[in-house]
Amino acid sequence: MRARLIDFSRRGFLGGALGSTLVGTGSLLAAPQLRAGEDTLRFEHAYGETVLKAPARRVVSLGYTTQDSLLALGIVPQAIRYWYGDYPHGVWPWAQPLLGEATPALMTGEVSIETVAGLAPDLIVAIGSGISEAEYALLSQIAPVLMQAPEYPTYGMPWDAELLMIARATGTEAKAEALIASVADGFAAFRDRHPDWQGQTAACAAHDGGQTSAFTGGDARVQFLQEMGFRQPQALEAISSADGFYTALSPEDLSPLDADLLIWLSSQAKAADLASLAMRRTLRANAEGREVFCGEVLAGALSFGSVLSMPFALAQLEPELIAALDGDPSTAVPSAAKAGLL
Amino acid sequence: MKGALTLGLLLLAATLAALALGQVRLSPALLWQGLSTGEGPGALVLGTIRGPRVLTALGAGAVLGMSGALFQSLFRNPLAAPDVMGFTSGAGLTIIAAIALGLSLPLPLIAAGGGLLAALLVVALSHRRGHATPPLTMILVGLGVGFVASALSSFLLTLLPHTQAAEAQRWLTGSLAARDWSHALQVWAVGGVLGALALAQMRRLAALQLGEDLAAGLGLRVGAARLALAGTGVLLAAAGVAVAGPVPFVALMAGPLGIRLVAARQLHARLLAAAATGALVLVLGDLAARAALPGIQLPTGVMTGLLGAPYLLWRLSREMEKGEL
Repeated sequence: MRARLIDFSRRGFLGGALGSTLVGTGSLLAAPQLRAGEDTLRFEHAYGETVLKAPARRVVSLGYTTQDSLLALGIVPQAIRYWYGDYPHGVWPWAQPLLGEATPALMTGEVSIETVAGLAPDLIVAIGSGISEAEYALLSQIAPVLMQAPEYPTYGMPWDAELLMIARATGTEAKAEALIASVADGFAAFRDRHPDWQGQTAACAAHDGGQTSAFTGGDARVQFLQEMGFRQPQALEAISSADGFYTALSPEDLSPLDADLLIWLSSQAKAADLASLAMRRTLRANAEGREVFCGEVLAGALSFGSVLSMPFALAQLEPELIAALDGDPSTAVPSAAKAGLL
Repeated sequence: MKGALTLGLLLLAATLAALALGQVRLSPALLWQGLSTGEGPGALVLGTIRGPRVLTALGAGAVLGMSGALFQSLFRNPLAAPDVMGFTSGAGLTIIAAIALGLSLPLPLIAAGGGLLAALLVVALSHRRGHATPPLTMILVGLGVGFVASALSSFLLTLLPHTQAAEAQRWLTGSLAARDWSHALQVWAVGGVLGALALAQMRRLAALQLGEDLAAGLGLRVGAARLALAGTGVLLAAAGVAVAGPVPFVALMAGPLGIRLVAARQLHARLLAAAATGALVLVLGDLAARAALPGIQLPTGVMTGLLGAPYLLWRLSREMEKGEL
């Protein structure tokens, strides 16, 4: 009963009811015989297995950051999930050029299943979307759904694994491999330019609403620091939980943030609050002029940790890091000075 | 009678609107085609996306509304509702605890356990040997139990792994996202049995409303009757919480609103009016949450909270004018 309903309804949606002219690959559930086929694409993920008959073209992006991977692969999503930030169509500055004239729908809040159905996608990318298993089951009746691979937490699939998974589903593997190589080359060149920073400690922190927190473990921001050649301070490593991406710190003890380099993820609006955080003065990074301040766009680039945002962040951060790590406390770090942190 | 007709028509109109409206606008012709032939986009929207969701909202709203009216009649106070008295928070807490402990019991059972536990706690804490407990004391103790349960839920959330915590947090707000026919069937089946059970106790409730002494004089075992009525009320609320999360304010609003609409005097009519109004409030709240703002879909609980909080304030001010608070 269910399979029949889906089969009909799906064809109906594609049959011009909503002006769609593209023909999709058909629903998974409606076509179990596909599983026996030779030339199918299979994806193991957190909620089971998804099978595609052919690479997808019409894609809805439900992950909070997956629009970057799709745009990098040359695929403009039909719809994008709103995470935060006031940028047209949920596409941040580093990805805007790839959007061109396209105007994907922006979806805010819970996933509206009927909006997704109305777009008649042939693939739904829900890596790092936080959808429930029930929502996954419902969306799978509209089109094949990609989730993060089973070994990663919801918001913890590394950018390169995500990019490769999406590339395989859209037939753009060659492009993905080139992109990954180019990002890796960028980091390698960065490490070559700064051999004396290798092995120094670095921490990423945020201060919001009176709560200071540090990013930990497998978080994209921490991985970014590691790609630049830094390592986590021991105290932070000790409080990292297996699947946590940040940890709240006691306002009385910010010592886990004690590192050779301290990067504050903030915004202009929160700068004054951070500047007046008294306990910051107890940190070695503050005393030695090794604090870097990231405004909204740069903090967003580090938080996205995507194939597009990381090269952007690397270029923006380099001059800041040179000023912070020159061994001379009197050299002002431009971003920290501008934010009033000195 | 006229009021009942109005309420029935309102409920019908709200249900049709909830089925017809959403983020995607489909013409009535397409919807009808979907309904009559099981084909086309109408079938997907009605049969898979909106249909089960609307039916679940109707069922959950009805059991919450009926539960609210039951407690309001039992305590003869419009503030006595399972969401005010902490029963829904208790049900929510046990569900979060079950997620944290990795228990895989059916949600209605867990929710019922939590609701009953919270109710027992309210009774135990407000009980004084040899004195009848005034309803207002019970309500205030319930308010306290509810706050403790909510605080414990928040505490458990911080202990959960981030992935589970996000899911549990969404659930606690009250959400009707991705409901399927099994949710609808569950709330209607459980709610149907419990609703019949509640209606079968109306004679006893009527006797209790005459005052405990008179009720006892009429041969009623007062304690047992109160316990059975309150237990049924808690289970009704838990049946709603199990499919929709602890949506706030529906149970509180449904009774007084429905009774006014229908001008019902008899108890079973009041209970049915409250059930219909609860269904109306939740279906409209859910419709507003998912269709009012283009591109934005909110959890249902946010919308019922927005509708309900002003109502609670108005209700309190009325109570104060009457000198009851």
